[in-house]
Amino acid sequence: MSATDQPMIDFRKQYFADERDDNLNEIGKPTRRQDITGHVTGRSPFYDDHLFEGLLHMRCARSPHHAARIRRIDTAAAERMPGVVRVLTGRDVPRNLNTLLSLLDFGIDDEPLLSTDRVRYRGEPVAAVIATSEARARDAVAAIRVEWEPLPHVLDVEEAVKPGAPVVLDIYPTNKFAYHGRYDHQKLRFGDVEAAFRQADMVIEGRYQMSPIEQAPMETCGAIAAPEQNGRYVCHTSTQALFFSLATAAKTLETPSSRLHFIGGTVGGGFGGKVDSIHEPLAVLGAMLTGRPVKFMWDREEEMQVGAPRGAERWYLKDGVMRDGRIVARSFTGYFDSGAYTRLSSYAIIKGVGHLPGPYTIPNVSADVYCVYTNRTPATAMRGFGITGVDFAIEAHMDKVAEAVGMNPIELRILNAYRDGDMKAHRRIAKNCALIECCQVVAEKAGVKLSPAMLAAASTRDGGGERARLPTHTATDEKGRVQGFQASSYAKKGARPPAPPGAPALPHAPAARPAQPGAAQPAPAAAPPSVPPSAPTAPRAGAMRFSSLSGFRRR
Amino acid sequence: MALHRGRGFAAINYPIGMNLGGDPSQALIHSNPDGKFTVALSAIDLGQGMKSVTRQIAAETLGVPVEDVYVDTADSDTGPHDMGSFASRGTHRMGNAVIMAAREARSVMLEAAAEELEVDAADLVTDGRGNIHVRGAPGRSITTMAASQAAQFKQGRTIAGRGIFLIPLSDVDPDTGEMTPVSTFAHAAMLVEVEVDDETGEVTVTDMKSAYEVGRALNPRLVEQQLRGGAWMGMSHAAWETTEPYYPQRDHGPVDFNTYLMPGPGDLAPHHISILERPAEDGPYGGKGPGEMCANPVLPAVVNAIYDAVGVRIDELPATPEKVLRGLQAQGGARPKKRL
Amino acid sequence: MAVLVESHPTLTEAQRALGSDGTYLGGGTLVMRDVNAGTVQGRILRSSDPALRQIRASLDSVEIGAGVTMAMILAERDLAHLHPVARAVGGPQIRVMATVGGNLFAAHPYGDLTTALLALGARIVTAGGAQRPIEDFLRDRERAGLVAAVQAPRPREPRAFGFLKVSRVKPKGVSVLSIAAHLPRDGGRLRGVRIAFGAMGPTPLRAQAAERILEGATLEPGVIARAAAAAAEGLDPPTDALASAWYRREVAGVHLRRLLERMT
Repeated sequence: MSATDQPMIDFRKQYFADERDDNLNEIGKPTRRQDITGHVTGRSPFYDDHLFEGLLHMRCARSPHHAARIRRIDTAAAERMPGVVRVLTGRDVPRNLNTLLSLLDFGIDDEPLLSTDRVRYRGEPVAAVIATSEARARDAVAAIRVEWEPLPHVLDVEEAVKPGAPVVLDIYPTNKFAYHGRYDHQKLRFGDVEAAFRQADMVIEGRYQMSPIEQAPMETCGAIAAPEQNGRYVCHTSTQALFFSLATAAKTLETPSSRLHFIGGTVGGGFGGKVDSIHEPLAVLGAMLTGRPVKFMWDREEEMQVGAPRGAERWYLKDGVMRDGRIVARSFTGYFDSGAYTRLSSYAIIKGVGHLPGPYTIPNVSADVYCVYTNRTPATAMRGFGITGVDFAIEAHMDKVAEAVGMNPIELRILNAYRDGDMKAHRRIAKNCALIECCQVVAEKAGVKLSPAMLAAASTRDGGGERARLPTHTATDEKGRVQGFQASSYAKKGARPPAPPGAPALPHAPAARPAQPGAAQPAPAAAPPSVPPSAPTAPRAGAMRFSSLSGFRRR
Repeated sequence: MALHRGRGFAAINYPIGMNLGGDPSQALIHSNPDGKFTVALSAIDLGQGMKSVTRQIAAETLGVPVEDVYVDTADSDTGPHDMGSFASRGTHRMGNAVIMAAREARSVMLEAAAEELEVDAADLVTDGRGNIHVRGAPGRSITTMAASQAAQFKQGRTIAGRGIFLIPLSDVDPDTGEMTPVSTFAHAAMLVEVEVDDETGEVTVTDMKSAYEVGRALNPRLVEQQLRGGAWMGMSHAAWETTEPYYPQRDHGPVDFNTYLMPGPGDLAPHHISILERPAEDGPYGGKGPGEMCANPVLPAVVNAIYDAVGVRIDELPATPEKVLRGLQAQGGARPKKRL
Repeated sequence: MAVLVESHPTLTEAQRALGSDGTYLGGGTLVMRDVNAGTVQGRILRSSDPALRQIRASLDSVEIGAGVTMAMILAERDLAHLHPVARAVGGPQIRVMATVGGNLFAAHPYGDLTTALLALGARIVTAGGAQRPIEDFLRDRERAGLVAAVQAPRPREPRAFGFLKVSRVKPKGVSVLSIAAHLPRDGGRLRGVRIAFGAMGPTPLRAQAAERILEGATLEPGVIARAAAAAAEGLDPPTDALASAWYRREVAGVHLRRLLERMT
């Protein structure tokens, strides 16, 4: 059958038919989408379709440097400009330090909403103008004077992990995230790859680079916040993570979440780029401090260069292969380019490590994956987060392996494919597999002739048994041990950073705001060793934790 | 000048319903005065069809026609807590929460119907067309609307249901990486055909043939929408897109859609999709989540096809004409492989 | 600063009112973007002068008003040789707005039509009625004042003029490079050859080394190959988000050869 004869879509109902009941009332029906008429006629309301009288507009002043110390931010001229209602700096943010995954109890607060002392990437915001029009906000941004002291910067992941590289974040002095309070990378150890490489007929190595990519939603990220009744604030938002954004706003504004009413739900494309909750806290803060509705929305240039992209990834792969095409060992070294702050990259690495070595049963697997800080726009989620980059590496590598052993690339996949009952490298049994069948269907469609054995292979057969066993020996190591991080994922090196001096009490702030240790006087640079750092005993005002257990501890 | 044709293959799996956060998804369902149902969620419809797929799941479980269900998303005052629509969680996790909520609401509806029909609720079934009747006796029936209205305005019952899907947090072993990240995987295989211009390095994708295993296809049209768009994105990632064309240097970053490159309508290749359905044990009606994974096989398939066509390995994305041309020059011209 | 829009009945008046602080708005596809970004502020001048939207064709030349849009070019039978060029500018929404005058001032990587006009040896008519060759105009276009019209010779036969645009995105992408070639023939020999490259310098530029090779020659493979090899001489290609200077230089000759082969 030639390409043009083939249907554009077909359902191969014969596969796994005995595992399905195909006679349901609504499931499996091509029901038209509830929202499609609104979408195609331009009637669906998105966040920016909500109109408010007296709406104010927010824009940020940003760093022109990859890395710099901020000597002074002078907003006086901007504040005097026509239409300017207020200029915010980091001192206006009640809790100007956050890491997104603190809601899942994972990671150390590392990122300010508006930087006060140092910038770590080009485009980092240092002030936010609130004005009566977007144009006036732009003009005022141009009038903000910042005295910068440029600092050395590092842009390449492997340069960043070398000794002596410029330090991006002081809490991670080697520019690497600390996993579980133990290591500067996430490990995967299953069997003994080094021993298996020695026994393999050949060893095939490769280096792969995934590019940073923009999520490119048609609707740029943003939020409109406005005072509601009873001291509450409504926020119409483009978020793709409603309670993530709500809780991030509650935490950074030190406001009970019950005072926030977030509305979203219909979003003009997300693809992962609308999780970071940058706009909601600043828009709500603007509404709190001006008493008026405030919109904070990126233009396209900000969306593309300041908005967090899918981060770049660099992968080194090494396969030990037998002449018959069986892969007996696979090792990975991966570097995620997290940019200047953690955002979600630390999480993506764990997700990615749980996915290795791809959809194949390989008896010896090892991985060292680093979350690396560089002086670039922080990275964040995107469709396929944690997987897309390494899948590119794995499958480009599989093509090299196929060539090296002289095998049809589809047959190589089927030969090594995981099957029901196999032990996976993250030490769980595979089930519900279907890789082999997908390979067979594509081979048939493309007219690629497979051998009878490959045609007869099935995900439901020949798995388990020997293949279900854990390795008799797994080589482990202490490489990359870190000191000074606590195992608890909310580990801080010492006490919670003090609030900036003079952090304001917001209008309607709860009366019983807990005292902040260290707020009165900045902590000394080096506390005497006899005095233990004060434990963060004060409740995290306004912050919530959403995980079912304290996260990512050792089992 | 010569155009060289090549074919490249890739196969992938994808983790569905990530649970590394250990956070729940929740849903509430209640009957309206007219006997229709509203599903309240905090999940987001990004265009992927969240509202539609949860609507179908709710209708199936309640036993009412899909027209009788309306899904309202993402108002933090009315929708119960959910962290968001990401990590292939929408269908899988929220779908399960909706099933739980719909089951509870259905049981109240059946109790109300039983009271009206003076039978045991355990003997009642729904026909999915808006009727509740005694099993084996279709004549003894009441409409779902009448049952709902009787409950609310006569019997004094609220027909409502609460649903939550919570898998406790998975620990991760720092030394071995042992973990339970997810409970199910989706699958795909992809063969891409390209033409490579050996004088300019330009790559044209001419055809894509794929097989995607998505669990049960809860709505075949929504699945197709995801796969078609997602494969386009994969092609775009493979040979066009980047925010930093000279990575790791930050110069010349694109700032608009003229400089941020993505394939246009004239670059699209026919994509012949086959769908396989192996229901996931813990997925809602066996559904997985097709949206996130569908781009992934295209990236490696494209670079493998370029190699097949001219013998140049592109290990750094995107596979721009410049990288292909440099590769061609380095090896003294095209060296077709034609292995597939 | 606010934006103040002034409308003037004639271009001459607009030119007089322009001063050093005004910005003239033609079709708006470039200026409005800068207005929205706040980089253009203050006085925005427009002119409703009907002469700006006129196309006057004679047997061997054509005068195109600066306010003529790409869509108007596409609707004009006398400008058939420019149809492939106008169609290469943006999508339909851009083409109904983008003007000839605006294209003359468009910064890299825009200006495909200007590349064609450079190859044709157009003359630029400014608001006061003065005329100058397009090369002169491009050399200091920032100080050139308002343009009223363009006069360009009409190719004597269809194959005497060719245009090619290389873009990464089809059909609406901007130029990696564009090439226009005017190859008048006189008894089988090329006379008055003009080759222009777009996106290969700060403005469209002539490939004079290639022109010299083609001048007086016949369009045969050996000549074409030599012209292609010299294509990038004297050009100044930039590195941008679309392509590096290296790549542009590397493929300039390939694409020139392909265009010339099409024109034999």
